Amino acid sequence: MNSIAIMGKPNTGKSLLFNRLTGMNQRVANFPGVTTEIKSGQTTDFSLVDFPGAYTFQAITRDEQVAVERFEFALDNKKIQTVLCVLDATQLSASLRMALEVRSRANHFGVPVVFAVNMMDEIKSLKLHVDIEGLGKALDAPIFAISARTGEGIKDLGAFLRSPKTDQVPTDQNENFDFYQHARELALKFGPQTDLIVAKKNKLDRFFLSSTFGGLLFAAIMLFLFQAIFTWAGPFMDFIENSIAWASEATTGGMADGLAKDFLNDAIFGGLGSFLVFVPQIFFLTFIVGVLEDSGYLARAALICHRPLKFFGMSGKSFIPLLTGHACAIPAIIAARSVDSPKKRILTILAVPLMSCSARLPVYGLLISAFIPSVTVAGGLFGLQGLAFFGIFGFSIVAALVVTSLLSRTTYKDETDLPFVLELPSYRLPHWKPLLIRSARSAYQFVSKAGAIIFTVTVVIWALGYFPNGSGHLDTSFLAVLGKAIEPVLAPLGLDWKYGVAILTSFLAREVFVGVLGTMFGIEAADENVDSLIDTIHGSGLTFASGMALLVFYAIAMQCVSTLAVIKQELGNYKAPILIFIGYSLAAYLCAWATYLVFS
Amino acid sequence: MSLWDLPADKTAEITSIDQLEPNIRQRMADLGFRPGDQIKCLRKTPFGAPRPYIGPQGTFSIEKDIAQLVTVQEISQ
Repeated sequence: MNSIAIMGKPNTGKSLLFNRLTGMNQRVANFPGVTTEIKSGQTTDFSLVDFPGAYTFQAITRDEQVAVERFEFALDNKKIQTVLCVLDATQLSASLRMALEVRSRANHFGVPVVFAVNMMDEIKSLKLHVDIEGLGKALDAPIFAISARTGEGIKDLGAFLRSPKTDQVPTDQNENFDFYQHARELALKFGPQTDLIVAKKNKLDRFFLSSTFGGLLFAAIMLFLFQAIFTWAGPFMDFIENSIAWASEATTGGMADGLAKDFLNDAIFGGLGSFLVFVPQIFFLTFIVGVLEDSGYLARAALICHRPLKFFGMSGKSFIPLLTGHACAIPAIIAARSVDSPKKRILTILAVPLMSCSARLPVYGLLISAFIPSVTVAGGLFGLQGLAFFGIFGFSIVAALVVTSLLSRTTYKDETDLPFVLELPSYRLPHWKPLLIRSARSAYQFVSKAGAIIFTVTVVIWALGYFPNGSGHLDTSFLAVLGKAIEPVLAPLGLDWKYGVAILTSFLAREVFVGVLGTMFGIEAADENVDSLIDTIHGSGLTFASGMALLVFYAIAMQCVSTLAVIKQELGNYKAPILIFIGYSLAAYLCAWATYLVFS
Repeated sequence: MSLWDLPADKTAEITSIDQLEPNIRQRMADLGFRPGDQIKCLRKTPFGAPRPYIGPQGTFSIEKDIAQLVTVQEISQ
């Protein structure tokens, strides 16, 4: 089977084209440097390999070198039979600069190149013109005008890739060939004026980068993001909660009292059910972050954040991993590869685990709903609970900045650094369908990955809490014996042994906290009506100060084995993840204690 | 003058990038910022943030530390 490599400058839509051709759903965004890994996919007739985009083969950082070496290795070892080079029609000169270099490398190894000029839909909507035929002749290669977004031209390209011509004549370019000059000449001859497009496409910068509103708009957009997670997801969360209550009633309503009924009510509906309620929030978080990515705003946000982040040892480019970290730390730590400065990349990786990932959402949601009244403030403009969400997210960010700013001036003072130069993509409408699929998938992954752990832990906790005396006797159960042993550690936070058990088990996965609490309160209450967990916690005598201490603990604590594993993979040593685990856990406990003292 | 001193909406020709470190100079040249090229400052940004400049290869935001080391000659229009 033919193997085809996709190459080109960053942000030309290579991954979107890859998805179009393979029917896969790889991560795409309107931001340069989204693809940081080499990914491959299959069609029935050929296989495709998506390489990270590059501006040039003159690699500077280690990751750029790795990408270039792997591309050349694949060419040299005949692992690739054709190179599909993607160009951005709205940035022809810059795309051609890389395209000419790709053609030269590929031809050097005797591999033919096909060109795909992407984003032709935008050229048409701007009433501009690219002379595709002329460009193809000048490049002496097959060329296709496409739009990966609308699907225009994809069928012809796909048909060609099934049986590509291989009689391309190698071009003889000596070492001094000026790709840059040649690209400019070709772009001038066959394409539209780039600055015309920039002027038309980037009008919105007048607002988003305005020196007066730029900062305010940024803050407003972030506030909106966190408000939306709470308010938009609300009705869906209510629906799930009601459905679980209904399912619980329907299944156990007619059952005789006993072990089976108690198990279903406490462990399944009380434990696992309490956690499912938070799935809509994960969906909305991924969706809104996706809209920001696709629109091109994130590159502007990176720019606005650069100065403050630089002060704290990071870069504007760290903003993307930090924001992605609010969904899940694992892709965010991998995304930190787009931070080209090695020093800032390490610091970004250290900051990401402190971002409030979606696994923390159920815990925050539960505690905020239990302790912060559901009222509106500022004339009905903001919900107090949404503001509390914004507050706890803000707290995590501040904690991360303190960590990075200390480390950048001490441990990592002499690490290699690179400056901030970032391409600003044009504003675009998001690709709605892939975005919805991605959001749904992240919600599904949340359920399926965490679900298995939560189910296991809940069942174990239920068994320990139920025996030997059965429902209503949690205080004399095996679990109570274990829990009371660790109670002294949590006494300074005003927490009893039940919360101790929930915290300890959540070192396996944070979401377990909610399920375990749901199960324990279910056993304790011993009645048929499973109250919502929020009401139960509210009535359990947990003080406001302890609730806030718990929030702070979860904001900082490093309770995710997968994150530690990814940090080890990215930094290449065990020392960093071990130190992060110990450091963040200790810090979490001390900050929670301080919070308890402040509020009590 | 330096690129950072170039007012918004004004175009200039790059006269030198020699003050940049070799690695950074190489990267800037690859991105289309070479002596003889024209560059336009699109706007001033809030909080001294990197400013967007349009060069022959597209729009890039460049931070102050770099822009101050690029020498340009304003072109009167």
